[in-house]
Amino acid sequence: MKKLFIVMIALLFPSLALAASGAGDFSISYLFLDEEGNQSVQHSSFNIYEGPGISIEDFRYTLDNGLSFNADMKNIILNNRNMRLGIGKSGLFGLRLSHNQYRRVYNFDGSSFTRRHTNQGLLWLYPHRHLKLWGGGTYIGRSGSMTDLFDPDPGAISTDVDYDQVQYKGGFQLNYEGGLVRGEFRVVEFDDNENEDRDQTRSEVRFDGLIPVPNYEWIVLSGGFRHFETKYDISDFKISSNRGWGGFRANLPENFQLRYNFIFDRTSSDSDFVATDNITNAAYVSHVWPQFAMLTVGYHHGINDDFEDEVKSNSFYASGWIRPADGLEIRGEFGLTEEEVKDGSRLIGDESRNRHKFRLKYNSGEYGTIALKYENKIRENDQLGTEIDFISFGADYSIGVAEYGTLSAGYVISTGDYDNIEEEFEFTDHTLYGHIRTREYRNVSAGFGLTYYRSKRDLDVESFILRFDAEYEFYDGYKFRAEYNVQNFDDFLIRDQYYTANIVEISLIKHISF
Amino acid sequence: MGHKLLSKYLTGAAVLIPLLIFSISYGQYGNKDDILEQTETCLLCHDGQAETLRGTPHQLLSGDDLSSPIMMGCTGCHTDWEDHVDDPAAENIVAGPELGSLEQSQQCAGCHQTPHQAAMATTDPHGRGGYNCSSCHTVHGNQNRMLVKDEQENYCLECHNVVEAQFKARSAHPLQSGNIGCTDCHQFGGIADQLHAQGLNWTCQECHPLIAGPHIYEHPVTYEYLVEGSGCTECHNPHGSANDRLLKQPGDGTCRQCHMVPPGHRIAHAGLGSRHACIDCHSEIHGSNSNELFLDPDLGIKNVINCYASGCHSLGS
Repeated sequence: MKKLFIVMIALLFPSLALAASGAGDFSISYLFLDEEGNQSVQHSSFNIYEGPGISIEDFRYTLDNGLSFNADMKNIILNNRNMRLGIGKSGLFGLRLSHNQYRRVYNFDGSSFTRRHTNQGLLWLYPHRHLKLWGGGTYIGRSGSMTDLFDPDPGAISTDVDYDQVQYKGGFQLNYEGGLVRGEFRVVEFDDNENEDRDQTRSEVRFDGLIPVPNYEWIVLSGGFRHFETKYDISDFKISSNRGWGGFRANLPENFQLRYNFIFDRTSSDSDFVATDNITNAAYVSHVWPQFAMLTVGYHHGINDDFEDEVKSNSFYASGWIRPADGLEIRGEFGLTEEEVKDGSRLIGDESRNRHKFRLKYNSGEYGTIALKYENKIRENDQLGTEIDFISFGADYSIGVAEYGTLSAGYVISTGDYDNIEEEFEFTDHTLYGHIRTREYRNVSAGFGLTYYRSKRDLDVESFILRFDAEYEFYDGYKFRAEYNVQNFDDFLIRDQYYTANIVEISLIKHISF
Repeated sequence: MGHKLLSKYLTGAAVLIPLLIFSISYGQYGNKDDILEQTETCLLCHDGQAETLRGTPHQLLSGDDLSSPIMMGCTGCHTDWEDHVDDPAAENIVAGPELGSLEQSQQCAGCHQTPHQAAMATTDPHGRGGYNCSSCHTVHGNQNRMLVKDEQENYCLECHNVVEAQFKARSAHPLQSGNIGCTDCHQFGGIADQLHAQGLNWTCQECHPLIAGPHIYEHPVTYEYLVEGSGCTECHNPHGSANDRLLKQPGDGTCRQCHMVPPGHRIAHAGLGSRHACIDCHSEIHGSNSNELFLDPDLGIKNVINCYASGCHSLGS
């Protein structure tokens, strides 16, 4: 990648003589970390390390001819690296590179952990205004040790992990007079350095197409095909999936639209115990009252057939929004799916799923924005005697006042009941969150944030994250920022499941603009 | 290992470099006189608008630079402009954000006929819910990737606040530390997939290849992801959970969503004296290459006293 980057810069060097403008934030920082407790329980603490860091955020540099560079690199000295580089020119080409690393901790003292690296590169170009080509690759490597699932004991057996996965992809897209043909090929090689029996190769080929019917351009036909295959390198065991789909969209008079899609998918393997067909037909009708409302209703029919068992499903869908007054918007969505085992059997039997969602949002401008959200999901499996009833209600409010600053706060409560013929689970989750940011006064601004989480079911868990920060701007474009974070986790039923961290980060930031 | 990796990078570079050279050397295209003339006419009055597009995918074509094969002019988006030249009233020209949902998507579809665009018109919940292009994207004065209004990940969470709550739970994908973003999984590009551009099979496999399978003995609930878009999310909540490993239910509750405890197990494995989690023995729960019950291949070594010395099981059973 380094060599490629050098070649690229050399190719573009003549352009650098042109006039240009750019901006970005450069910062150096130091992070102090004081933590206590079980390091494996609070996931948001896994990638916090004590020490210095250098960041370049939102850096953009644009030449007058439109060639632009951008970079985003956060804490590039610390172990938690998150870097992104890009170069491109509108309508001609673009290149994006990224590198990312993070860890996942598995035991009390943090000695058992895995580290994952991800490197990505993607190049796209337009050799012709109707043609786009792209190609790229992704490398994922993971190594370290992890404890077995459900085994939080400090003395639990650790398992070494060491694998890497490399993916290449390339594709094209051809656009012409409202039509589109798109194709992409991917191949993935997975190497497990601990157990070569797991080594495998995956590949995917897909083509999509879309074309307005000549002389009837209000009808747009679409369709495509995808082949996906996974093969074990040692045993040659293979599973493949072939999917074909098609449909149309018709823009009817009076702002009506009709959409239809079908999908046929067959998955099979070299062995004789896996072969499944999925056939889906779906149709939607929409009507729009411009700037005022929209209503969509749809029907979906599905068949899942593995040649021994067959499951059919019928789904109904409706959604809509309306803006009855300035700043007021109401949205709703309803979905119902009934799955019935027609032949044979399946473990969970027939299933019924039902979902409702509503959202009301009012933006008064001067007095802020308030949103209320409600969601209800129900799943029933009669033969199994189970029912899951999930309800979530959320409310949030935000306001910005030029003289004082901004405030946003919200609360979400989620409750669920899980019943079967033997037992019952219940859970309740509460989440409270809020942010306050003052306006700048004498070059100083400050902020406060809170997230509080409480969950009760078979367990009783509480966690919260507090954040205080202050910024002081001095000279021209320099800022000094101090942040204090508290992270806390407590499981009131299991004694060694607790964690507290005090985190202080100080940063010197220079905003450049030229 | 290092040599193998280097060779893979070099292979990638060998593909990318010719593509790059090709793009730079072959970029000239077409006669653009009409677009240049129309754009210059617009800029006589709207002289600041060219600057709001500079460096963005919609940078206007100019006479100083003809390298772009895509001819971008004002009238490409602001259609029906002819009367506007004589009478500069706002209603005499098309302005994207003021169009209705369907008209706006058709306007953008003049150039953008990507799978994302098609999905918005068919299966994407945002499209079905009445959101249009300008709900998430702006064109003028925007340097963000993909021209989204706000490049920060919390842009999605402004509407999906329940999801925001889940990401702040005890176990969660590392969104807060910036190591992943919403668009790493939700790429909005697929036409056939209901929620995920690449389908759940690719989405989860991108980072979790070790447990992705296939296996000789598949656990059906994990296998369904290949065909039904379900699978992984039957047991895991990908955004976050109060339980470890993003599980929807704590401990055995995950298994008991679909399985009752077999009678024999209730006596030997679920009593107070010898309580075992399902996963203690059925450890290959994502799929096994050796056992249709997903039993730990090392069960005979690890638990030889419990399983065999008790007389309940014999080696090989």
